[in-house]
Amino acid sequence: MKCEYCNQDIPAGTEIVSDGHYFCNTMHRYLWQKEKGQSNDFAASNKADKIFQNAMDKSTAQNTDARKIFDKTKPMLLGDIFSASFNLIKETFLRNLILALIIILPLGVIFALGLHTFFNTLANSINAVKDNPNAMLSPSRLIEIFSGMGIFFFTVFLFVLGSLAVNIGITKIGCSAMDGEKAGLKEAFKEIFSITYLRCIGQALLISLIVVGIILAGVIIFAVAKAGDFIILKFIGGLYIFAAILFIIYLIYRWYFAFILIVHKNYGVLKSFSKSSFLIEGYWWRTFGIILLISLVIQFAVSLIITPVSFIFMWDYISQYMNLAAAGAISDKDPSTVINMMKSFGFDIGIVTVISTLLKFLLAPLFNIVLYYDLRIRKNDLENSAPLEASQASTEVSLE
Amino acid sequence: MSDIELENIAYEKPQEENNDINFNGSWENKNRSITAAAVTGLIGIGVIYFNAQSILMMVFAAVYKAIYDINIPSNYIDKMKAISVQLKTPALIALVLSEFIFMLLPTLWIVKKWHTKEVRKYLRVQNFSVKETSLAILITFFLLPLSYYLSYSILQKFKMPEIFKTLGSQLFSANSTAQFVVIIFVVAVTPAICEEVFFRGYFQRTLERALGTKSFIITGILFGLFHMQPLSLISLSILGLLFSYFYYRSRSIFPSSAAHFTNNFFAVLFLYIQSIKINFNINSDGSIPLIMVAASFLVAAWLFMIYLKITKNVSAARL
Repeated sequence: MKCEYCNQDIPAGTEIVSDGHYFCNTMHRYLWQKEKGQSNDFAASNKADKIFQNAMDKSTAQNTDARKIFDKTKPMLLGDIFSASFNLIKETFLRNLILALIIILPLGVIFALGLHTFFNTLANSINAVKDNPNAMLSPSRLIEIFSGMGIFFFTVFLFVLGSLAVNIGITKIGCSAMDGEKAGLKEAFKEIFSITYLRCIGQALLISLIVVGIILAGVIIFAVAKAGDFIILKFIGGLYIFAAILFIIYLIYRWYFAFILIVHKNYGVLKSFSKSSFLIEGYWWRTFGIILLISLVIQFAVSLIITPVSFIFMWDYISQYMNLAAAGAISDKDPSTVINMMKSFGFDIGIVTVISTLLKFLLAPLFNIVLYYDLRIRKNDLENSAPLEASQASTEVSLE
Repeated sequence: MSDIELENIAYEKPQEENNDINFNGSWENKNRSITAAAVTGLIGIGVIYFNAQSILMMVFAAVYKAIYDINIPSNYIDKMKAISVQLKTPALIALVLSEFIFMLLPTLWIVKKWHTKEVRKYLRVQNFSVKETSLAILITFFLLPLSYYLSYSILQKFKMPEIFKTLGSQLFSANSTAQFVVIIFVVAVTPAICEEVFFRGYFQRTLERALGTKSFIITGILFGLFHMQPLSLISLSILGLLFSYFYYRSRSIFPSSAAHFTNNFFAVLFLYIQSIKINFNINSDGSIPLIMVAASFLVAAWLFMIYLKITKNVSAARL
């Protein structure tokens, strides 16, 4: 049906009917009636229209953001990726935040305490060595150094394990939302305390071993070349390390979605590698570029919050540094003054790191999930996704 | 003109705004989230702007140093002083260029490409009202003592060394009338155009379509955060809220732009007055007496009430 006043199609269910005439809104009804000399009651019409307009605005606002997270039938452009990621972040925010807080908060405090111990040990050692160079080798000093380092690395280890758990939980919640299901905290924790966790550790270890192995081969070539003074071998070693770094970058992005595949599809480690490799095939540069862009965006978004937060938490350190700088007491040759200030620095920097990690967790995994679903659409790997035409399968990244 | 006719005019303006814009941009056509457009635009342009500004500053400073054979001392404080005094010209050029090229242009491009070809209408570069704009200027002027008082109190609370307080202002202080005019263009005119189009014209306007009234609060706070100045965060956020409210209430970019210009203009003017050795501080420690802050705040509040009154009909009909 068309509006009597503007002759535009009226969306179903929004029509205003008056004496058998249809209008898009009461304003048009009023204007039409005014034209026909039927009404001068602007105030009444105005009031009615405001109520109607407010209701429409509210409904539009709700519809704008409450529509489905993404369209399964076509591959996403860059704008679609941002839009879908935003919808996904909004949809899962509260669950992800609670999950992250439950795991990261206690481990974060422990990590901050570990960092505090580390910086204290560092400052004490430097001060001791400054007065007496042999003090470093005294048994008590060595015990202090190793226990300080040990505590620090142990807390880092705990924090990394906790981060992995958060990542698994958020990925579970995110993938479920993309599948149109609603996974709660219970499902997320169930996933964390399952074989998935061990598989993810296995996958991370395997990637680390491969990376170390590739680099180690280069180091061995160099060591042999140095021992035998073979110039050509040194050159080959240099070339190899350069190529190895590029190859490692290539491999990391080729297996980028292996982690998500383990959580989402319950794949084993090796199958997750081959499936991720299949998804990326033909889209490596596109994925690489988008991930780089997303990293920049997330980094910036987090820095907006972290800048004032770190200023507040680390003010003692910053203040001391400024006062020393103002007094001209900071010298490049004698950093011990600054290192001494580090005694109060560890816990604060630990807390800032934890907050920053927490914020990144609420954003980064969800962008990755959207990218993963985009590739699945492109590879016709998603249920309900229509087979792609050649033009749709383009690897081009458009800002549209 | 009768009351009904006046009300009619007031009412038809938002109708024009809401219905007459042809949302035919790529983001709109693809039925994507409007909130996501606002956030993507804000963060995307933020990334471009800050990175480009840093690169421009480094390049211009390097070229300037090479041409004028400037030596920067290695001592931290002297180094900072030298940078803000001797490298003032390249820094100011980089600031202006980055605001126009990497903030204003991408904003206009995004509006045109993603939302509508009717860029001016979308950004609300319309509905200029002398009364509303003048009141926005006066309200901002009378809120300056409060803003100054807040910044001063925070600096005092954090016990910032005096040298660091002056370091930042050295870049924007003028030694001659000509330099003053240039700095006014850089510090007051440029942000009043570029930052207002970016924050109010694009971000707040887009967010408003999805979130309504909440948009001006979010924009105000983000305006404070975006300046990356933790010590001025509170006063910048208050100013941001005020500018955003002007934009929201007047449905026009002119009052917020004029208010932004006023705030920055007087900040530079005070620095200039200080540099020509006129002491305008009333207290010996450099602070403003609380009675003066309270009095000017009351005047600002009274003016604000007038602003609310004169925009009542317009705004009520537009909401």
